[in-house]
Amino acid sequence: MSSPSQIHILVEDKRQEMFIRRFLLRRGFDKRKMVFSPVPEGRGSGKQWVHANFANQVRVCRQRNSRASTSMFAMMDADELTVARCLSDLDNELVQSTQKPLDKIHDPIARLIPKWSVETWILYLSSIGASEPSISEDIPYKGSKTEEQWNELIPQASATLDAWSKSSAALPANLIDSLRRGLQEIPRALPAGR
Amino acid sequence: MLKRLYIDNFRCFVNFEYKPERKQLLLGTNGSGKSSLLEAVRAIKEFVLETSTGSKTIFDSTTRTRWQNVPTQVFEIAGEDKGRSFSYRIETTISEKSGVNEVSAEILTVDGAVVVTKSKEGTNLGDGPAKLVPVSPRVKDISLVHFAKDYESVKAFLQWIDTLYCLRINPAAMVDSAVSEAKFPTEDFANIASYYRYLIQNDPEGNLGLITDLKEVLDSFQTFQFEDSDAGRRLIARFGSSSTSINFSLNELSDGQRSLIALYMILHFLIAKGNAVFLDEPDNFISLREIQPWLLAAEDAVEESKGQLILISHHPEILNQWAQEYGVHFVREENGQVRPPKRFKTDMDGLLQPSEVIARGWENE
Repeated sequence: MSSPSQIHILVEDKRQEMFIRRFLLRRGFDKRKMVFSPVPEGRGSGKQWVHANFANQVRVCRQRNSRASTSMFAMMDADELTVARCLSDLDNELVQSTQKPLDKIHDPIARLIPKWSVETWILYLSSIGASEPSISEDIPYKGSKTEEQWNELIPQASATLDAWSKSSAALPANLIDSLRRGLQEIPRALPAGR
Repeated sequence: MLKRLYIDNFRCFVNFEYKPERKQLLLGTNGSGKSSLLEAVRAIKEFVLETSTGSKTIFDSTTRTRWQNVPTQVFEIAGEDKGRSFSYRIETTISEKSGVNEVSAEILTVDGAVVVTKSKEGTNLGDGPAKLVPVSPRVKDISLVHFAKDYESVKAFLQWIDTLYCLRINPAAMVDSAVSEAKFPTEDFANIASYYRYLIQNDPEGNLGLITDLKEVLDSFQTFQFEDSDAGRRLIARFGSSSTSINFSLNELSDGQRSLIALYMILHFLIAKGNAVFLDEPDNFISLREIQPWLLAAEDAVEESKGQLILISHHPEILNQWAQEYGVHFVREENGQVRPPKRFKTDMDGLLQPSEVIARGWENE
């Protein structure tokens, strides 16, 4: 039987799931080390799903982490909200469930909130080095490509995320803000040395 | 990739059309036609590839839809492979004399051009206008595509047909000895030893991936080897550490272990190679812990290889992972025939998982 999973991932749709999975595989995690909560029921309800499950999954992560290394990635699209507002909303979920707010040192939990949607990150991370126009967080890109086209960009995007989330990485000067915040969150959810 | 399937007057399918996507989960209650769909695809493949004895299913007149009294069955498939497009249609009609099905019409189109036709008017093998050709008893049960003049197009078509796999793993049927190599797995993976004997010679990269994954999945698994036996070359699974090892023949493993081996073979040797795989209830026998890792790996393999994976399952883990994005629902009408499949959807946004919706019988509302 497989060894226990180590990283729990809460996402709002399949594309986010593929993006995070590719990133973790790239980072050297075996696929059995990660477990994904099922993508939520119904289209367009992803953010609601992440909100509804975030506090409970944080509680689970904290409880198991006392006996075995356990970490968590939570990802949701900011859509029309600011990233700061979304982070604050997630903190409120913890408060309402009578838990402590996230401790940035001791809680191995990363909250990834791309502005508009994960497609902004995928496009930005996959177009680095190419002669693509610069990617703006003011523009929602979700509908600009087909599902197949987005899926084809994911391997490159997750590889760049892997490279940039390492402590020694040199980041571009024009890094989009939501991605910069995400890169700061990632090391928290990775075991030491990863 | 299979793009279209049309079936008429076969089991519960009447004038039924289905256009599968690259990844799909077929949902539906027991008896809603999901497995019969695989049977139809398998029958077409069997008939087209068979050059000696003919396909049993395609000539079985008892497979006609029970509540109709229509003599003709129609099967049609269309798809793409390596930049070429294919469309194939076969009609069988029950003979008043013999009471068995006979091929009454056949047409193969490759890249929009007709390669071979057979109809009441006669047969055209691509060598001019249709003409009535006397068909010898030996030839009557064989697809006419094998006699077409445009062999290059036929060869491409047959190669595409070869990429369609309809599988339902049955660990109890698996034979652990291989008298010879088998290029293809049987529907139930009964020939797993013969198939693997072929693969280790012809796909070392896939085999490396298989062994790596099985080391993760099966406690202390090391590798496979073949040993001579009276029944042929016996497939042995070696377990243990580098200092001590214990050999087990395949038949000594549990049903779950054998199913996992077959699943990872399908992943590395079929899905990762860009084939179109229909897999009926892959979750049978395997532990809950193993379903998601296999499913996610299979999903990645489909994306990378541009293959196709169509699953039939009732397992909550698979329903929750795939139903929302890839689920299509099979439902039978009151008169018994299967409706065209519809996308799975519900208004229980964010409230219930797909498996919960289905468990309550709310998926059709």
